[in-house]
Amino acid sequence: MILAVTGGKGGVGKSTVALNVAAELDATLVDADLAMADQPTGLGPDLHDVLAGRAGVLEAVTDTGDVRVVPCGRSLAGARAVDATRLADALESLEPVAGPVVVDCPAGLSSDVGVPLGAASACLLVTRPCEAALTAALRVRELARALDTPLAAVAVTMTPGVDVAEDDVAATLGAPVTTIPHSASVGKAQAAGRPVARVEPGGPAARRYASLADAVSAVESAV
Amino acid sequence: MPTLECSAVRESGVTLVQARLASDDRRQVSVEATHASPVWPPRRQGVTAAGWSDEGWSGVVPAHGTVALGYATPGTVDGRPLRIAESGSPDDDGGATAEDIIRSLGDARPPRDAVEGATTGGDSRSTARSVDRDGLAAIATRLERAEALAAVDSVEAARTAVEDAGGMAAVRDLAAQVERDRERLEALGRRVDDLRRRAAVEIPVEDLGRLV
Repeated sequence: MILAVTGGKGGVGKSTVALNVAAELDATLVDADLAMADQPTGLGPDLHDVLAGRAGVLEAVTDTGDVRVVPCGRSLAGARAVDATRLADALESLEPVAGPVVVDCPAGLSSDVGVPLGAASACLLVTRPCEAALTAALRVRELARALDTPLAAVAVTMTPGVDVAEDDVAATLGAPVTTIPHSASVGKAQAAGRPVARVEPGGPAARRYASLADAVSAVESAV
Repeated sequence: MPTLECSAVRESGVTLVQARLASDDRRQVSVEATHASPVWPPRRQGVTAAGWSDEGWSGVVPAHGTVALGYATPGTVDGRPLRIAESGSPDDDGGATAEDIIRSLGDARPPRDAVEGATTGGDSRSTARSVDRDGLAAIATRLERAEALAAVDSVEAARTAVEDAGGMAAVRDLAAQVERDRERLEALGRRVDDLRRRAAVEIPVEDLGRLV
């Protein structure tokens, strides 16, 4: 399984969801946000190196202790030097060896989202319960459809005091919705580069991420 | 075999048709209108949505997937508004290639100007890292070529050296690169000095051990 985590709008918590779902699925997380990477890093080659032909993708896999990651470089020069067409091949050669792959995609609708989305076997949309985020999520869903990538699940990251009609969001986007409650422990865990299930095991956020991972697995095994 | 469900509802003098195509395997399917009144297809970005024509719609239904379709027609519709005209294996071999995607969605890399700016002054940390990445070996190679050009001591030697370097345009490029290498090495040097100073830190291991 190659699961592309996308959302359209920036700032919806896509990277947090990607890290936590990868941990729940025991998957390898690929930080494909080439110009604004924010997942944990390692000391070896990174995705900029892989996409510039300086390293193979398997060399770039590092283990943080909680999750296996292919980190991304942090320099603009590195982002400029990539050959984006290599990403599809990199993901396809990673999966048979490393097991399920979760790809943290950039925000927006450019080819840096399109290429991993096209290579993915399913997509997980992350959104917030506000019009701007839902509109962006709809556009990404259209892109996924154009690329023949089925939508596995939707994660709605909550802000305190805002309600969401889960059924409406599920009907609009066309996939089951899992809400992720706002939680200080999630923010702290993400800042430390760790899944919340390791920092607050059994907590409400950890349980929601487990449900989200189950929803994704259920769709993947049906296909 | 793909399946087609469809229904029509009359609203404000127009018939709205909705349909759902489903298939177990990935298929190219064409559906056509059974009614005489024209098909008014959906439009995206000001143009007819992909796959639609005056007759109906044609496109790929993903494996174990569904495609939802909707359109309007001015006339009334009796019976089933659409039927499957053709179904077969998909025309393409697996959808858009990465090159197709980049062509249609655009190059997402940061612009060249943004990158040039980042290597002069600014964040010495990312500049220093860019030296690590390119390798001191690459810089050393450029400096060898630069030293050869700086050592010329006759018109003949100058002509030979410029020719070896690939012409005056290449010499000017090399001069600009060496200028950038100088700045990047200075940034790396500052970073190394800073870290060397900080590496003098001594963790009071025994004291901490006694306190905790």
